[in-house]
Amino acid sequence: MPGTVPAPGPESAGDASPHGSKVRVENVAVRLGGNQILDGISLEVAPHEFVCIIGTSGGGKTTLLRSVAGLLPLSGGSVHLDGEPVVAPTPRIAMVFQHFGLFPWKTVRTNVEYGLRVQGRVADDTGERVDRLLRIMNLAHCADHYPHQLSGGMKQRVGIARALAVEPELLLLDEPFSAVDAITRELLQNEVLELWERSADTTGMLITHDIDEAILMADRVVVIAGPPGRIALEVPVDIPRPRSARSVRTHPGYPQLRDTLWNALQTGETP
Amino acid sequence: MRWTLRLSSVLLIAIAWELYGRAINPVLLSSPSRIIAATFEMIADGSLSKAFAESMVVLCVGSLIGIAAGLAFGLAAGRSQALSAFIELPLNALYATPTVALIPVIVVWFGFGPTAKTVVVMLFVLFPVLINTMRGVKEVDRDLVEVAQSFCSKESRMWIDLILPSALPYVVTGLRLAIGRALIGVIVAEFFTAFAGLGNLIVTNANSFRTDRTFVPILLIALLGITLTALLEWAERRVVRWAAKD
Repeated sequence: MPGTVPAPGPESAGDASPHGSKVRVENVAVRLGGNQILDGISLEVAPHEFVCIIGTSGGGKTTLLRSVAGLLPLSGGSVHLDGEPVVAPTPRIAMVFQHFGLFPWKTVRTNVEYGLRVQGRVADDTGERVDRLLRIMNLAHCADHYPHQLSGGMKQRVGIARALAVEPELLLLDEPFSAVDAITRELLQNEVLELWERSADTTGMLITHDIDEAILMADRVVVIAGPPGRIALEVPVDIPRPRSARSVRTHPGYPQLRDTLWNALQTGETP
Repeated sequence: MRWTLRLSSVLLIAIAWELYGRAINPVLLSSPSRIIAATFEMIADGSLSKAFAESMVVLCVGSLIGIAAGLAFGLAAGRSQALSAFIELPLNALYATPTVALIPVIVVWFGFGPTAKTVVVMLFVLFPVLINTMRGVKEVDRDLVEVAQSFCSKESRMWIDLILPSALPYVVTGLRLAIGRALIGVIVAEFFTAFAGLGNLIVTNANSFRTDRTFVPILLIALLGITLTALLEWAERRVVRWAAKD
């Protein structure tokens, strides 16, 4: 893609962005085929923050994520990563897709390597790194399988491993667990949470329509209401990490937080 | 078991043909045993191998040009909206026209020699390859294009990772259609030009009521068609290993 934003050194990052935010979404508007999808969304994400964006279907939350990824032309506003405008996809951002987005003609291993390969970042230690990722994501035993031989949960493990392989500064997850069964979903949530809590330099944005998932994973939950999409509510989640589905549900603040988000989603639906 | 059943039908037809063929005038039907005898005759006098070589040259050269042109235009038109819109109407018109109808015109333009026949085969092959390739490229999964874009893939890499592999099954289908049509093309062209090749052998033997000798090139062409199609099916299985088999 032409116009890829050049990656600045990490030291230049701090001064370029006020308040030390990693991602700054400013007044973003998106219009697609005559429809106003997003209407003036502003949002800041701090370094190593995990933000969950929650909203009902058709509310524009996926559009917001694609705008942050540089995949969509904005009709207004701007997206900055470390103070650098994002106008096209950049190797510093990686995305996990709702329907996995795996290449059916590539094996698990070559799918995981994909990002490194297209970004020309294959080095001597690539094989080792991919091996380590495959082990972490429990994929080592099926490294030579094709996607059609895998269950939905395993496919999304590949999708997550592929995104992590490029060591992104910003990880975008678009309803990553909505196409897998409930048990697998809970396992994957825990795995991603664990990976997340161990890695210090990745910032995350996750789209979901599941309130419990948002509370479990997020430092902060943003409710998008629409169309046209706008921010209805932002709430911090002050439940200590490491979290688990159980520790979150038994936390004293949980019922009220859930109610708040539920109400915001409901009222947001009919603005 | 499956092969026993398959082969037994062939055997049954051959036996019935032999019995009935012996009972009636050999000009009408001939019989497998006479055809086998005629085959050896025609191999011995060199007429079969000469005609076969002539047909194969036309078939191969015409197919190669047609496939190459079909792939090139198909890939380009699949990726470029403008080009595909530009060629759409003439392409559909030519594809809908039975190519056989063009043969007399092609003979007027290119004469009775191998050039005309090669052009006919090329035309027969071009359209199925072009149209299937174009469709394959167009039906690339939009979600996967977005995946490639999100990982900052260049357009050239996208061809390798995405466009060619996903178009491949369509291309192979196009090639399989093309092979059948190429055989039709070469034989019909040789009927019209009637100087060389297996088609010529069929016409001249039929005209002199040598029905046994007529069937030899016919069966040879059938064998050729079966072999080529089987080869392509084998190649398809090798190439499209990633596809779900169930």
